Amino acid sequence: MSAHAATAEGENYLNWQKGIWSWITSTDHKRIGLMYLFSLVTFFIIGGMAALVMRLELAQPGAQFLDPNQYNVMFTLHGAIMIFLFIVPGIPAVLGNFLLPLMIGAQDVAFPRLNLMSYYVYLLGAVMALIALLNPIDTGWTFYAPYSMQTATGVTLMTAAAFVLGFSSILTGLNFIVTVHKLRCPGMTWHRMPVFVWATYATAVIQTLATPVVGMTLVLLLVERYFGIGVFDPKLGGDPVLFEHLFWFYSHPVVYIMVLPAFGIVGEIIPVFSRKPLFGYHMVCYATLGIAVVGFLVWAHHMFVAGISDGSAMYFSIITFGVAIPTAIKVFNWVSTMYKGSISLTTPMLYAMAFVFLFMIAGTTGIYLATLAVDVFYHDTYFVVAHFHYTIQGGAVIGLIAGLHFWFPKITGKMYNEHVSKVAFLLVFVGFNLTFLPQFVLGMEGMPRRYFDYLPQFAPMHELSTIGAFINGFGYTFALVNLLWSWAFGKRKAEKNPYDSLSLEWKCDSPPIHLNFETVPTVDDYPYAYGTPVEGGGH
Amino acid sequence: MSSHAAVTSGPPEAHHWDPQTAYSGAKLGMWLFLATEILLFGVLFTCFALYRWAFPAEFHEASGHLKISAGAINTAVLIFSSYLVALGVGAAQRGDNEKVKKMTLISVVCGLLFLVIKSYEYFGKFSEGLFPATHGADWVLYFPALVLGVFLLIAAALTAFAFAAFHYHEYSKFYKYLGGAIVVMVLFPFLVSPLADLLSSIIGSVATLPEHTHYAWRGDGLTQSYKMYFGLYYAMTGLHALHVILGMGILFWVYLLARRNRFSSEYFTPMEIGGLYWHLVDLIWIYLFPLLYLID
Amino acid sequence: MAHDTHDDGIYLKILVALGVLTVITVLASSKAGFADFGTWSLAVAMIIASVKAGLVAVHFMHLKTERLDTWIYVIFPVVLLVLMMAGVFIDNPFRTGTGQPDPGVEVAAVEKHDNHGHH
Repeated sequence: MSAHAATAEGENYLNWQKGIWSWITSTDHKRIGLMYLFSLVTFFIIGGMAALVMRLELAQPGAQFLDPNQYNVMFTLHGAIMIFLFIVPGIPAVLGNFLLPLMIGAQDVAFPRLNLMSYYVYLLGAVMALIALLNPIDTGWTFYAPYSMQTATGVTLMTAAAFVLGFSSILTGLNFIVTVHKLRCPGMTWHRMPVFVWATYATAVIQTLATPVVGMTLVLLLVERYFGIGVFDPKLGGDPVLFEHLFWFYSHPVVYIMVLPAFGIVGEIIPVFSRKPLFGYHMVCYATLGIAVVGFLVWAHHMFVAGISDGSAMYFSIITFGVAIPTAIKVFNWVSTMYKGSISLTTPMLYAMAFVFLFMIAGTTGIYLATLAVDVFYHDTYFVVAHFHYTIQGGAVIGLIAGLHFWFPKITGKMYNEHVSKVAFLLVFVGFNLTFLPQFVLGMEGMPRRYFDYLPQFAPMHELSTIGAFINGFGYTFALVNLLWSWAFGKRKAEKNPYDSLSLEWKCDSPPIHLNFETVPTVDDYPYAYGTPVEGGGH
Repeated sequence: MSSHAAVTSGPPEAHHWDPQTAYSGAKLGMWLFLATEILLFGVLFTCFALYRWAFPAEFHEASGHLKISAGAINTAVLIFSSYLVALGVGAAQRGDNEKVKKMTLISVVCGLLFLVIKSYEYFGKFSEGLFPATHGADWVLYFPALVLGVFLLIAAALTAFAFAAFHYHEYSKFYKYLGGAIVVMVLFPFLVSPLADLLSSIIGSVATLPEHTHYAWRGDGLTQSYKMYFGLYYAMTGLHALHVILGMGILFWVYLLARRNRFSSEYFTPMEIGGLYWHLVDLIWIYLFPLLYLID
Repeated sequence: MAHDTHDDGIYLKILVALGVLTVITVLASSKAGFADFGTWSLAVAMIIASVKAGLVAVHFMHLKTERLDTWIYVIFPVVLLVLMMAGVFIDNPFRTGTGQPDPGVEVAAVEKHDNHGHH
């Protein structure tokens, strides 16, 4: 296939080759992104069901329909599936794959066949994780030693699955880094790249460099299980806190893998729907890289009560305050972008604004947890659970949904029903907050996490939380069905650039042709010059 | 607006980037992969560092059991093969496919020599009762281990054949060879016992077999931290040996490409990135050797 | 292709240097050599190893002709590795109390209890 064979009218990446074989062997980053989307949504639903089962059980004190061991299995499954199978691949696998080459004016990523292999490695890991469900683990998604070495459940298969999934993450990250370094179109300097590209790049750096650490740690866990060398088992002379050090060395940066791309998405949406340049574009870019780097320095704030030395606890506490600074810079910049802008409350903008609000709550409660004395009380309570759901769900998932709506016209060539999507947004927003705000209260009152049962005084908050969870789930279903329905049966065709956006992906057709651009584009400005006059009209 | 220059070299079908960018991109990609390997091994180095700090006397004593001569010979073998690979890159740049074939093949043999010496070391220790599993392991016998090694090498070779075909977009051959490699690895657990028995009965008829057939930790009077030293020793050198096998597979892949006269002054990427991987294997050993064998 | 062709002669010189440094490594150890650096023996050995690694990386792996972005992805992972170790070493040595790895029991006395259960 020559690089520039003329594309027939109406031909695009979805219809130029048909049939399932053309999809599952496709090295087209856009198709791969969609295949990831399909898998990710499936696992989101499964993980979400586990959450709803938990919330049903927790709606009232006492046992409802689970026994304690089954409950342990439920929260482990919910955590492991949501983290390893959904949110870590998350935005990079779906929107990163789809948009990165488009935004830098490239035909595809650096290594398209490796990209397809990443997807299959992910699927292999996912299948292994599903098989591991037959002997479901009860260690929590964190696999802490020494219990993970002693429990008779399927730790072996699950950690092997996580290892395989890690490989997929590494290969994707590697691919994206080389893509950004080598495949930018003429004129696309680093300081003309959209912030979503910066965010995807910073995420890719973390994916590539942090994941090997957890991979090896999980392998060591298996070696310990089978050979008892003693590296983590205190009975054999080892230090279980060492496992935590190694585990969290990855698992803290992984939360930035989850949320940095969402920062990028929000940074794309807000200028478009404020019709204003992104405030402090350079600072946003550097803050993104800064978060990625500083995110490697703070891991032991997950271990304050694990038995680490006081000195190291103090160090990690102070540095954790530090990582809030670049994030705050970005929040300031987003809000300043909106200030005196011409705001359109489209669905993506609603989700983006919700993101800013919810992430503020997430970030500030993170500061509470970073404070040593406070964390001694809050650790392993519902406060932590609420905090990380605000960051991961209120942050990354909301960002993903915002992005799916924003780029829906580009991906599918259709427009979704704006009224339905707004109703869905309302359900998601209200449901989410109703689920997790009470959990902050529960944490402050001292309710521990991962507990199957609780004292009656905690019941009202748990009831509210369960109601909220179902509203939340209903909202997601509504949003998803709306998007799928609009894609399958929607009549409104999307133009190339329905929102008058300035970044390169909007110069392609909606949906793009197979090779993205008819001819190689050139750029001469950064993509946020909204509201500045241009010769001949336009933006 | 310019369009891409037609691709004149590089992998056979039209690629979406020009040859120079493809070459530097492939190198950057391989360096990134090497970075992941550094962090992978780094976990083991960290564990070793902690426990050496915690149990200095036991680690000192335990490391006395290692044969420095074996480690030194292995160091020399790997450094020499690194030199050959560097020569191979130069040869590939000049289009000297014959020399590339020689350099890669000899380096593969060096890798094999490394593994043989390593196996000799390992089994020496197993017979001394320095096998880091409390429960013992009946399956780690000479012959099953030999069969395992042969299977791994066959799988690596098949994978090399697969990726040589992949390089030329010969996808049906690729699936065939890759399928073969997977079948070999899947069949291994079922075939190892019968094959090992067959081997031992053949060899047993002409020679006396070694006595120790049940390997277990026999460190009587030794503390757990002594066992931990050996656990870490086997983990680090074992992971390294696995990467030696991977490196051998990659160099063999380069050899297969040279057989098809792939390299010229316009295209030598596989030799260069394959060489980078082999150099990493050497680099890790450069640290492992003094750390495990030489220091107190 | 715009690429620095490499003079093969340098490789032989590096090989010899690596050989010499390996001999020095062995001689500088108290196990096989003459030196006894005491607590510094680890540092000395790692420094010599790093010199060797540097020669391999810069010359055999052609880092000297690579651009800044490659250098960053060599140096940054090493920094991360040092960080990982530092994180452990600001912790364990400074713990008060009994939460330390314990050489503990002799393994021979550890009976064949099956605490691993079914794998």
